[in-house]
Amino acid sequence: MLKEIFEYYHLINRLEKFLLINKNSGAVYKIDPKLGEILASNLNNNYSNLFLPQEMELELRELLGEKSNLEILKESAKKLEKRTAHPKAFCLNVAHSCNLSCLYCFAEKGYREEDNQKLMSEKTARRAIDFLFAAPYPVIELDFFGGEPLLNWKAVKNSIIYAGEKTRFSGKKIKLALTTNGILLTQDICRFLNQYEVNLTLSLDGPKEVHNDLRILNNGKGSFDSSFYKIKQAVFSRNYQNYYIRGTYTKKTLNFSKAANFFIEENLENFSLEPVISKDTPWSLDFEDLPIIEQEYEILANLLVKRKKEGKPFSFYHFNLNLYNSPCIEKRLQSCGVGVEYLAITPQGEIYPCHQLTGYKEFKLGDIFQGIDIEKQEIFKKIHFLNSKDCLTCWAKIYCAGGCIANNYYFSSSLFKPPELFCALLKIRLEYALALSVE
Amino acid sequence: MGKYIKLIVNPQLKNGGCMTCQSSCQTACKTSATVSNQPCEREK
Ligand code: SF4
Ligand code: SF4
Repeated sequence: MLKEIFEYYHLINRLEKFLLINKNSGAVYKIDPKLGEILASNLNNNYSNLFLPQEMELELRELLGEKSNLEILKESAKKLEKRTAHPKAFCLNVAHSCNLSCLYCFAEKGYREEDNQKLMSEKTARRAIDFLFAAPYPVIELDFFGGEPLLNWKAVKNSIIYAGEKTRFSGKKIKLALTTNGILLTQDICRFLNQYEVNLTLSLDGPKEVHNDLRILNNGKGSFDSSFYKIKQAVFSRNYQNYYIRGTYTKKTLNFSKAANFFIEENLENFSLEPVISKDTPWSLDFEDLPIIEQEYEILANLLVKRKKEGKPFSFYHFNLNLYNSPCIEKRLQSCGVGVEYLAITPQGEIYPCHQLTGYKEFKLGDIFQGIDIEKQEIFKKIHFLNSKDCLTCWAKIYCAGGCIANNYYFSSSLFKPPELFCALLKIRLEYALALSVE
Repeated sequence: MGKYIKLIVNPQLKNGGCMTCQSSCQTACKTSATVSNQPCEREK
């Protein structure tokens, strides 16, 4: 039965291209439009009445003989589960306070209640850096996050200098990053961050009316004017390199291609636009929003095709799929390393599995003074897509690696259960990314 | 491969784990694990 083929292959029809993806190996095939049209027209009846000219049928049947990578992945997953945990990337939450009150902020969950110490002391930051340098990796990552990290600029600055000194003695390379809403950026701060090659993630949701919808100052007014010009200056000061504009779209600002156009017009051509993480609010996304979101990704993908032809491409994070220099098995299985290689540190020095799980006491993994509770960390070693029932049957798993674990927990109360809406979204995005990667 | 179906790429699932490439989702999106699609940096 030809139908059987589609248990192993997923058909993509995007940007006037037809692709088949092997669900268990990730192999990508380009399909002739004639065959593609026939397959696409049979998609809705689940291919049960699929009849093809003999030549086409023979070729399609050959696909059944193609190999699966699941066994190799299972072997590696077993090793991953037994690995010795070492931190490789730290998110230092240097300030659990913010000069904005964005209505959709997830960080707020982590510090709303009993936090009395809102800023990380330099001593705690140094201790965390020592902890990180003790790991056996040649390349380590340190991200400054908040709240708004520039509210604790002195600690950030001194930590960067301290980490820089440590690289000299340890021979390790460190990748530095800082996320900011831009308001407190000054020329001096920019100069310093540029000198130390700190990657900047700059929060900006789009043009003024979009940005001001939910990104508001503590006095209730929109923050666009306070952020935008600083962000532009910062990006200009680093010669348009080593930065990402990070926008959020919500139910109220679904037409995110508008934001993309705005960024491009403003020469802010490295950006990502992310769905809001929230539930039961007027701005939370739901399934009825998917058709519009799909359209928006289509507009964005077509814009990228056009700009590439004109020799003026932009960089949209989720379309940056590198088919030919793909990551290793370990990365494919567990992606971000949440709770094992990647950890978030609160101002008090507590250790959490990631910046989005900060404040969930059930996941507190210890603190940088006493060390990590290895037993509590065990469950995070088991995080890979083969341990998720939903992912096992999903065509996207080789490219998705099981989604965002913090999102899983937030929406499904399980680390291993990806929320359907976000999977649907990811798959749309991925289909475009794959179609864009194939000539 | 054939007249109607052409293999574009079979992603090499190579052993690695050297951890040179990016962990976490921090440098860009903050909420999504698309880090698994970032390029391997081992050769660099
Ligand atoms: S997280 Fe969702 S989209 Fe990703 S592999 Fe799992 S089921 Fe598929
Ligand atoms: S769990 Fe989600 S938010 Fe946390 S590092 Fe991974 S992808 Fe990012």
